[in-house]
Amino acid sequence: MSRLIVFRTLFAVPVLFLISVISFGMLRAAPGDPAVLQAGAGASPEAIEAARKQLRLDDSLVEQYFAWFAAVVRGDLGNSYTSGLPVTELIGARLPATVQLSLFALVLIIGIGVPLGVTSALHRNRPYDQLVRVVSLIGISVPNFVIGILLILIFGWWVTGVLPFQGYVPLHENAWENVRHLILPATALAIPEMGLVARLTRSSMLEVLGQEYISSARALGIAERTVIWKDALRNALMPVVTIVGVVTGFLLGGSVVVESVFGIPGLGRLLVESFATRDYPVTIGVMMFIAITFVVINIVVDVLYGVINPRIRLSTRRGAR
Amino acid sequence: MTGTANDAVNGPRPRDPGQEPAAAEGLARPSGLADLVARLTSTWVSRISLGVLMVFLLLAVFGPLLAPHDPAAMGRETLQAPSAEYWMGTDEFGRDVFSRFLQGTRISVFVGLAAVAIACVVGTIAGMAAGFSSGRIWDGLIMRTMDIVLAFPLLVLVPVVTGLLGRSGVTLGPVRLTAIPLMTLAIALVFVPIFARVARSSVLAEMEEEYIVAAKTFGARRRHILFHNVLPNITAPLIVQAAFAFGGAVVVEAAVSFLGLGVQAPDASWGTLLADGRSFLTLGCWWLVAFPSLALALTVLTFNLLGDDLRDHLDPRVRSSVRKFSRKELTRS
Amino acid sequence: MNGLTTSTHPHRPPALRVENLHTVYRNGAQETSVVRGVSFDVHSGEIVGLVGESGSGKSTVLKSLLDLIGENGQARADVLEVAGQDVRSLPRAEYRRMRGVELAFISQDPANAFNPAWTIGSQFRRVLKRHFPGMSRRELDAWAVELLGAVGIDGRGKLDSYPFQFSQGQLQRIMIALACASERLQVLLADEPTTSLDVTIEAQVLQLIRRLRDERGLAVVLVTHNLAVVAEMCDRVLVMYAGRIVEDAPVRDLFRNPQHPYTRQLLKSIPAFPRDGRRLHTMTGAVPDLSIDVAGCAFAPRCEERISGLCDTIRPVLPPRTERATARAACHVVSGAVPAASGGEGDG
Repeated sequence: MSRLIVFRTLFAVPVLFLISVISFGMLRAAPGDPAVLQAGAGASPEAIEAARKQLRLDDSLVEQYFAWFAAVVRGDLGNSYTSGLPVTELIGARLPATVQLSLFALVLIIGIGVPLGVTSALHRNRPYDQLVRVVSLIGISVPNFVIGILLILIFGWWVTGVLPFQGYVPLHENAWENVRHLILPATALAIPEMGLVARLTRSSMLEVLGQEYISSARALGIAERTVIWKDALRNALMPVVTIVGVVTGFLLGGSVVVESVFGIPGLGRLLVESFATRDYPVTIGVMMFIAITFVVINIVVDVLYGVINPRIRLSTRRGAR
Repeated sequence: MTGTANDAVNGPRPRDPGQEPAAAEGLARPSGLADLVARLTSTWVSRISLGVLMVFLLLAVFGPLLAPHDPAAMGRETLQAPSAEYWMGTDEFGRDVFSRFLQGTRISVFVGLAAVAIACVVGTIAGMAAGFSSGRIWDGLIMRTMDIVLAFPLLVLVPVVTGLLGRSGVTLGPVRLTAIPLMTLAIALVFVPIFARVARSSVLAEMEEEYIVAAKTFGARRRHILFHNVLPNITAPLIVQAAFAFGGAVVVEAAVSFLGLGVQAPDASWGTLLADGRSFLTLGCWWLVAFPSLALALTVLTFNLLGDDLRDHLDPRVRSSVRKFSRKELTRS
Repeated sequence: MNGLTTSTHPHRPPALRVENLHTVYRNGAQETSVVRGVSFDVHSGEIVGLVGESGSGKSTVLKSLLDLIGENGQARADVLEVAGQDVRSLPRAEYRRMRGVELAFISQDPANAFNPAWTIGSQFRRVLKRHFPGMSRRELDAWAVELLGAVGIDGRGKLDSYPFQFSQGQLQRIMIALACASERLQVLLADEPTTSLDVTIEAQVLQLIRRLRDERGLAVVLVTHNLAVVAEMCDRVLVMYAGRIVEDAPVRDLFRNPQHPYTRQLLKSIPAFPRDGRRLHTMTGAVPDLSIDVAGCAFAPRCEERISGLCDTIRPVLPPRTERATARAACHVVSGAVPAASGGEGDG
């Protein structure tokens, strides 16, 4: 098991390395002189010179990269051009809203998408199944920010006062309001992925239900309920687990737009705001943070997949020879 | 894991008698592009999807000529609901939303098409190179690069690239890239790995085929094999991917423009129309967002349907098994 | 259940009795009638072979008996008795409870017959729990090891292994152990249990099935297309063609004196039978399309002895089973409508 974790982590190293190279490249390719920007508008030539020294802009690009990389490894993503605050601090301040939003959406996706897919497979080709298939296809096809806009139209104009459609209340201030404010954004974020998960679960479930071991469990007289919910579902969910990693990546990306629609002060908003002020260290920092999170989530999902799939778990153990 | 997915989806038929008709079908079915064209006009789903594509294409090409008003002309009648005069109403400056929608359609469709075309060409070349040198350093290098591009959530990468570089533009030799071309390239970049993966796996599957082995024994040159034998046979799965990617590219463009990082005023796209309209949602100005929303959803929906439909019939696994079967049949008779 | 009558005696109620079984698959508007009025019975201690080409409906017969045809299939029979009980009248759940207890099934694909996500031990435990509800986990495991020992597998320490860690042959033996775990088992249905195994393993598995029949007096239905297996294993053979039984004969009669022209062609196409150094017979034509029902004998188009005007218009029926008749065939040529065209395998 631990071998699997080590293996997956090592595999991620070149990916993370390239992410850092690309991020650094973008940071330097961004228009404007970083030293001038870092020193701030109307700074004295001395201040600019100091910033130039601090960013080591007179060194070669390779040296600059390694200095930057060493800082990143220490958790220092540089300082915001506008506020002068460390980028990590800004990210930390915005992280809770995004994490909450993504988790809420993930709960909706799994909590609704998986049962929809399973029940749809069990009623294959009957009206219920057709309905679920059509609805999930439409769900996949409508982008999350469009759903968000339609939700605002509904709850901001048509049936007002039922649910808040703008802003965010931190959890520690008011838990109830916090959840209420997240319902619409999480729904908008979840619906497309929900359709995806429902479709995947359905086809995976159908594949498993056609397997010989399902017939043989039935032939052994195992109760139909057990056959479906224990024999079939566990195997059907294996590919679904892998897609959850991908979906989480979509959620992080999707939250960039959805946070902007619903005015939620999360990472996505921070990213968009940083463009307006040309605050490149923040932009790159957030992008890198999201990319790394995505890589880490995929490692976790792969390991999780190994845990539920004995073939992988045991084969990596045997691979130790 | 997905080896029998197709069987599962199509449901269990009586297993034993199922073989014969499949083989017959395989014989009758032409392969490659001819097959695709036949397929595209055979089911109502693909016909409607093609119809929608044609409508959007025509609107994109001729739309601005049809526009009843100057899309930039402001008027006194602001925020009017749709009427005979203003088919999609007017916005807060009294501009005709229909005319703006036509203008936006042109950009949305063209950006989507261009991005997919670039991604398809670049991805296919990269994937074919990787597949053809499978197991060697190039393969690993190309495919790992693709993995890294995929490691960036696409809705983060595209806005960052466009937002960072698009504002001032990028000069590449004599070419100066402004926001829209730059965004198109960024979207294309995001879709390159998808095409590369499909092309690579198709090439690998195709290289196993006996006719390639035969061509090699005749001493055919590698380049000749790749472009004359392999490429025509992997177009079908690539076109399936292109159908899915087009829907995706249009959405990414809309999202980036919606964030204000892509298409900039006075230009319009479905994304900027949505962004413009969202401030007036609580006033009930549904017409500002309804039409671009509908256009986006319709585009993605029809292309998902088209892609599904094509994939069901052109899936490389299904295809190659059918073809193998038919060849066996041919040699027997 | 005393020893007053011999095991194959027709006076004792058969362990499995099927009358007029029909199975239809529906695919959209198209209906395919895969089993078309099959009747047979199997007595305790008897191994009955069900043979035919692929597509003849032999596997579907087993699936129908087990109520395991998919939702687009439908099976009905006039009589379906398992262990003297007509199971058609039982509620589905009730019949489900008989499966694995009174009748059991062995599939042709042992590698896929086990849930890949669970250990062998847990798959045993949940079946054994049904037979012995009061047992503790340790007792269940001990019993599983004992059952595995009976099929020649040392189960100690292996209960925590997953199916993929066993070989095909081992898995098939484990499957048999699992299927025969019930002490009340009377009927064993085996669907080509050895097709996916290599020859030496095949012999072991067949040996095992025969031993179980001997020791526990099981009634066994063995579906196979391998006539060598039939010759080795079966007491009686049912030959199926296009969803119908065309010949029912004791195994010796079948090989010595096959009645139905189809059976004769089938026998001629086995390598080394008869061992006369002649070229192997190749059957011409293909299995008929089951979505249409022809008026005459389904085999007529491929039959070398067909009687024009008779075989292609009137369907021959299988004569009812009598005390004296040993072999019977559904064929106009055999039933004496006209003298048999040839006396055996003389022509070619």
